[in-house]
Amino acid sequence: MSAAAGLTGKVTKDANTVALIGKWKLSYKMGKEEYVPFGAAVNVAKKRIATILDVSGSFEGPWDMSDTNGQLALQNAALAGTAVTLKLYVNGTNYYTGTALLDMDVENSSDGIPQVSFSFEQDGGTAWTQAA
Amino acid sequence: MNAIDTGVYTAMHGNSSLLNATTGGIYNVKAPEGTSLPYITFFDVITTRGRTFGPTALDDGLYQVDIWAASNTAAGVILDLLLTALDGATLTITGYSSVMCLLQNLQKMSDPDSDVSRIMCEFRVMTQK
Repeated sequence: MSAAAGLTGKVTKDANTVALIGKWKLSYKMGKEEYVPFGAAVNVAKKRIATILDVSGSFEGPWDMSDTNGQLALQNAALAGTAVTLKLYVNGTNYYTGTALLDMDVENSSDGIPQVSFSFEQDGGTAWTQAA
Repeated sequence: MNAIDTGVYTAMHGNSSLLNATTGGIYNVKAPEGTSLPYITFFDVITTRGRTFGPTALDDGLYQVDIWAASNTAAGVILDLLLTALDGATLTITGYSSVMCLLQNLQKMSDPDSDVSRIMCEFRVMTQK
């Protein structure tokens, strides 16, 4: 057992690596409903029941729309509201994958370099899974 | 000099107006003892490597370029030429892509006990490997 080096990670759309990405984040959040049994004492602890799992995340790096099959394809998907299949690699082998709907932010400053950030929420079709 | 040093040097050396005005020469780190004024020295103060996933790296460097001249006026003339050569330039660097070369700071220094005027400039040099 050992920690993985993040450097060998990547983000792919279909089989294409998205260029210049240096950071990604994935969040699994289980929906929960509170309930209190009828007849419970006033000071009874709240109870919760799991409902629906939701997955969201983001990834970012320097803006490069010459990356036709990566950043540009994601931008087009974001603008069209088209779901994409992503793989978020933690190293050269292991990844999380699923279907996502994208949002995109672009940021620039006169003394820096343009940055692009894609955020996403899962699209219901395929559950996000961890593979390999 | 490394490849980025060479790129900065080439941008200055390749500007004929700057080269002609800097009669003492352009030197990496330090000028030889007895170099006549005016001349330029430059060196890489610090470079921070920004990582992306995979082999691509963005090196964010700070270069100090010093103008040494016999008067503030002479140093100022060379400063204008230096800015033309470097500020906003796309450097040619073997093995790298030039992202930016921008002036960040400049400081004019004069010593009443010395016959040398100095203008210290700092340029942000970002490259992609």
